[in-house]
Amino acid sequence: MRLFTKTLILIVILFAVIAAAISILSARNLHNALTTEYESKAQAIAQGIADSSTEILLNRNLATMQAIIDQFIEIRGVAYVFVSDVNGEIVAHTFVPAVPEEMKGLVAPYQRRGVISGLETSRVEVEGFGSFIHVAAPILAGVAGFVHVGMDLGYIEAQIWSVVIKQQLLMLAIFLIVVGIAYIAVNRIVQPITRLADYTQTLAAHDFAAGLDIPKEIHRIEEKNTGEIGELAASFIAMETILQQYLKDLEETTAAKQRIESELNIAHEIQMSMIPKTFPPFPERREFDLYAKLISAREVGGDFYDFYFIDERHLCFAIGDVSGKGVPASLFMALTKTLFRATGGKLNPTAREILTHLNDEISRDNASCMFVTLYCGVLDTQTGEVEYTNAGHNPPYLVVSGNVSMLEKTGDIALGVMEGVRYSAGRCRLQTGDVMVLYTDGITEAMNAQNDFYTDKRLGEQLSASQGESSRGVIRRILEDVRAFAGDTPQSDDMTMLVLRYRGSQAEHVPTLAVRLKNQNAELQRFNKLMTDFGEEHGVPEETRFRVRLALDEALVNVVRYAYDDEEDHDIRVVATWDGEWLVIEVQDDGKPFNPLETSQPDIGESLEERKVGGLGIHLVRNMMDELSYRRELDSNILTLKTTPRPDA
Amino acid sequence: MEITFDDAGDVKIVRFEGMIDTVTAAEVEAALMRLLSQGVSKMLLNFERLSYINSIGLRVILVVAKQIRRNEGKLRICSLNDRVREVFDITGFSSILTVVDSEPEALEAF
Repeated sequence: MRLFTKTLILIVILFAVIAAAISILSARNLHNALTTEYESKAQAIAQGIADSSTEILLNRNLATMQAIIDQFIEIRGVAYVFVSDVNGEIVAHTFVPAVPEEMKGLVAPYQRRGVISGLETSRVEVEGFGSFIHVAAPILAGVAGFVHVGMDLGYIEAQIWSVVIKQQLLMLAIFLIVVGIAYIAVNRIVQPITRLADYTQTLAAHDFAAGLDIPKEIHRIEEKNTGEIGELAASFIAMETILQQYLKDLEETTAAKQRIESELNIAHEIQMSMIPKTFPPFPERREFDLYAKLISAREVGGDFYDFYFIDERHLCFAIGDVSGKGVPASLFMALTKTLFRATGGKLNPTAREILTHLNDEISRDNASCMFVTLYCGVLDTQTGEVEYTNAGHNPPYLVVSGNVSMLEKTGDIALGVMEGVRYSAGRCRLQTGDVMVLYTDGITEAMNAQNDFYTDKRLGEQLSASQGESSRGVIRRILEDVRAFAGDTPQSDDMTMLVLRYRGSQAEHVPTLAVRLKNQNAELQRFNKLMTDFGEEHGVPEETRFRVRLALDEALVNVVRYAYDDEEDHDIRVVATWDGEWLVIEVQDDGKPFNPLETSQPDIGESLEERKVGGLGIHLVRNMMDELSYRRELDSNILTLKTTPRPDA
Repeated sequence: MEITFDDAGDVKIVRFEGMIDTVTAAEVEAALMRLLSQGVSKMLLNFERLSYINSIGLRVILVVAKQIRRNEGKLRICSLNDRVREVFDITGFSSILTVVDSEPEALEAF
């Protein structure tokens, strides 16, 4: 109603202003008009009396004089009439009962003035009586006397007032009628707007899902009003209908999206189940340590790895990357992987043959022109020889005794590009402890916030530092490093790794851990971890692991502390073997000759005060281990520790 | 290695979580010696969450024990797991130090 109130107030003010202006103007006009009229009236009366009074006054016929004057007092507006003679004495008057003293003063200006020809009109104010228009008409040019006629100005004013008041009342009446009409008129205009405004409020709180229910009156507003209001109402109705539609569409789209997402999740599970995830995959085969991991960037992706035994002796392993990402890549990946498995076997026992045939199959019906890079190797578990073919994939790394190198590319094209390609083969030989690392470019091309790539260089550095670790350890190390490098940057491509560590053919095989460490305390921690992993991996019982850990801790601390006099770096070599029954560890250092077994035993019977602080280490080593021996070979100290699992107490 | 402190009356309870080995021994020694210099005379070492201790760690315990003895205070150790217990037994520490099975028992004896 604010709009309406505003308009109303405006009208009221306007009207008030107009009314006031009219009143003032008309009052003014009336005043002037009346005054002028009364003046001329007074003048006419005075002149009339003067003209007919000459004789009478000269004869001093006062009675007649009085009679004449008395006639005129009846006239409206005449306040008084009196005649003064040449001496200024009032000889006839209309005052009752007598001439007031104050009035006598009016005569004064006209005494003994000589010859006066015309009327003299003036305004006079008499104390206690009021204001008057005073007209003095000379009788016989003033020689005989004067006729004085006074018109009551008060009377005029009263008349004006009454007119003005009547006028005001009339205007008020008109005003009220007009306002009343205006109110109704404006209300009629404003009402639809008000209703629309109210409707907008309810719209805002409206639950669109409940369906549209535009009130009939809104429709009526539209129908009944042709102007802007009608248009407004029409657009309201249109808007609500459109909104309703949008929301319905949105609901449908959201539902569809959720459906797709859940389907993608299922697809992800299916895809993940296609890839072997049990490790170790062939626990009875001790010739190698194989571990692999795939981390997809989206729900589904195009990377994969696979491995299987072609025959008793030959392990086929592969890693691949389909061009593209998401659903298309994943479908192609599923196809490739299935065909890969199907192709290898007795008929195609080499990597080269597998890929040649696989390529033909994939290229044949490749309408989408997708392709896949793939590296496939076949390991002869007896000899450590690997025959491999690389179809356009990142060449694997070889880690041999701590030295990292990259396998040379065979120059072959990716699979799926065209049929009839003859693939070539490469060869290399793995020794015990050598590691082959397969990966996809999701690793080397992982980006951080500065848009730097992880690069082959970093990968190489990490592999260098991974010497002695298990395959699982290597992959964990690389993935942690990549994650640390990338930070918060989201993963843009699938990351896949497969690590194959050769342990040697079964005949010479005993699980062995060979580690080189520097003579620093931090290295002891690293070694400790390697030893624990080794023990866990090969089923060394927990109580044995604890004892070995403590014994080696003490032995190595001894070496670090006492074997060297200089501040230089020195290498300590530890080799541990486990044949299922005996765990044999050899600690070799190139320090000064030192046989820890010769250290005196601490007296464990001593009391607290007498007990010396040192000597505990070797005591513990002796107790934790079953056999201890020391020998000096060339420039090295070699301490050998042996233990077998003890029944848990 | 995490060391947390607790009070039970005038006894300071020190709880260890992790290992006392070459890397952490210095930290442990510093923390315990600090308590002594603050005037703690009754100390209980709770080893419930201690998974490993080597001779370096034992040395630290011995040094602290000797110091408390000189200050005429009391040191007790409680809640050792089997492995750590064995280490204490082998090295004779079980006989020169007061080792109790549980914390409530240890607190009672103070």
